[in-house]
Amino acid sequence: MSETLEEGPDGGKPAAIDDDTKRSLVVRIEEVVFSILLALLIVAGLLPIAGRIFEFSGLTWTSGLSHHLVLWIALLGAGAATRDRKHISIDAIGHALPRRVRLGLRALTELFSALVCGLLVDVAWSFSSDEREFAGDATAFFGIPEGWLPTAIPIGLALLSMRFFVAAGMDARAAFISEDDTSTVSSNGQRGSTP
Amino acid sequence: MSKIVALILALAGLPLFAVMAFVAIIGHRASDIDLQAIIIAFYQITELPLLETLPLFAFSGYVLARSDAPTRLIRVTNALFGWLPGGLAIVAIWLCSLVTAMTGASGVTIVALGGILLPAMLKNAYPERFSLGLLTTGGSLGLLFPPSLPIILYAVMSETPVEDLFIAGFLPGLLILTLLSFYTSLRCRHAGITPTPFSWKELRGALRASMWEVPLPFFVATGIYSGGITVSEAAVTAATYILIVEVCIYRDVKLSQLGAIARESMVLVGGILIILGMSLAVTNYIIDTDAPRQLLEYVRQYMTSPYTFLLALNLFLLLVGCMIDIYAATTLVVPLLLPIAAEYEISPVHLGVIFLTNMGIGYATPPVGMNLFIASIRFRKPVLQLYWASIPFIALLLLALAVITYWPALTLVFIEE
Repeated sequence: MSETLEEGPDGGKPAAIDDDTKRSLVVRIEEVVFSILLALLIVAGLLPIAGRIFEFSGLTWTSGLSHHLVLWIALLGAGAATRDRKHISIDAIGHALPRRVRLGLRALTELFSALVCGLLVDVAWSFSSDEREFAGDATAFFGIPEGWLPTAIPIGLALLSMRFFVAAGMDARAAFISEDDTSTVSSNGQRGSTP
Repeated sequence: MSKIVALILALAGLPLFAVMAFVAIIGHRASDIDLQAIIIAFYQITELPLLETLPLFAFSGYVLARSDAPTRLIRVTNALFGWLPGGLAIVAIWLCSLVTAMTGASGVTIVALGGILLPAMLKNAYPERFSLGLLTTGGSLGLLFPPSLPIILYAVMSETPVEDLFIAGFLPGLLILTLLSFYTSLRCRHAGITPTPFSWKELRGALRASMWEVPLPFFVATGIYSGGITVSEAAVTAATYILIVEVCIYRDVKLSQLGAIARESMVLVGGILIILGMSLAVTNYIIDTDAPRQLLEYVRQYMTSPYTFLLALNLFLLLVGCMIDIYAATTLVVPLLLPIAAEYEISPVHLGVIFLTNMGIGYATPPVGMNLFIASIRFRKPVLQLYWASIPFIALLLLALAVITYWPALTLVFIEE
């Protein structure tokens, strides 16, 4: 027998990415936001390279922009990971538990995460207020005053906390609905629904 | 008490960044430090070098994985190596490494390549158990090659030049792939699988079909190895190039799909970065508590020679690799290990290669080896079956690990002290 290469029944590519109909509004907004962040990151990276080739200067602001885009990606990406239940965790016992207990436990961990993030929002807000107060008039990029940049943290953490609350609510609700009814709850994937 | 609570929460599945935030809050409170210190540490994210390469490489890798590039690259590599005994399996090993290096061991390899390679291998009479084991382990090969995200993260955490790490990882990475390829070749010769005869015509056709993609890994690798471009420049040019090639030239990826791909890759990167940010707060606190010095004293008490230390280090890292994800482990464990390794005169570069090799093995070992679960979903097989199938490959990886650990020259030969 000689080797041939053919696609199996699964085909090569994972399905469902171009399934337009099932994505919620939140996901669509996220897609736009992440596209913009990545586009800006690419431009901020390309400009200094172009500047070196074509010998123009005045691009020192691009590195600050890249770094703050990373901060936004960290916070908003974590928010999206909350919705997808894709946070990095150990989850040593989850696999072994019955479905309802598992969902209940997950709702509790999500509630806890929401509280931790919520607590940090307050701290982050006072930090960013101090920064606004003490920073000078210098602008970082796009005319944004430097003192305003750390405000990303309280905003990002507040969104993250909110999403954990929603996720916890969804999972708690799903835990109380019997398996037969889950189709009404989890239209968007294998676990739970749309925070 | 709070440590036990944190441990229970972590085992119950609390996201690790929240565990770290909790530990940081309790720790700061107990030592009467203003909680703002946590946020100040988190804000260091905007000062660390290289971090912007994580989203760029992850996005590039996801775009590639969603395009038909894997199929085209399989064709090229099969035309090149398919005539060897076990050619298709060897192709699988090298391609998995390539895709893992691009996508950062996030399971994308198994999803993108497994679905094409498994049916192809089974169709060509490769034993099922062998094929499953190979593809499951394949999801974490290639961690030592550029532009592997875990190497970049290790460079950030250990303040080691990332270029040095990429150069250092080259020979150990090659050792792993060669070892697996030899084993594969032997196994397949015994199984009586006839290879495809070599054909120039097929190679020419395959190269022509993927003429825009084949140069990319060479460009990234030679650019980084030669020092011709920085890793940051490689990240942004690779992203731009891949976008142009896959969206405008091949048109495998529609413009309307890019948003979904952007989101999917940023879910991965956001999950990594939020852990990184919180770990900065935790490590600041841990360093303040003098724990690293105590740990060092403790280790020094029991291990006098570097050899015993390295053995203990590997056992510890294998355990960590089985329990914690590679990115979380890098942010948490590396800052603690560096001073201890320095005490035994192990360079941060060598430590990094040992660390990442261990973590790669951890991906395919229970209870939380992520590859096992992803492969289980992708191939529709029970996790336990995949675990048994992976054992011979894990044994070979352990052998490679021993060589990498006790033969530092393999790692450090091209590094200038």
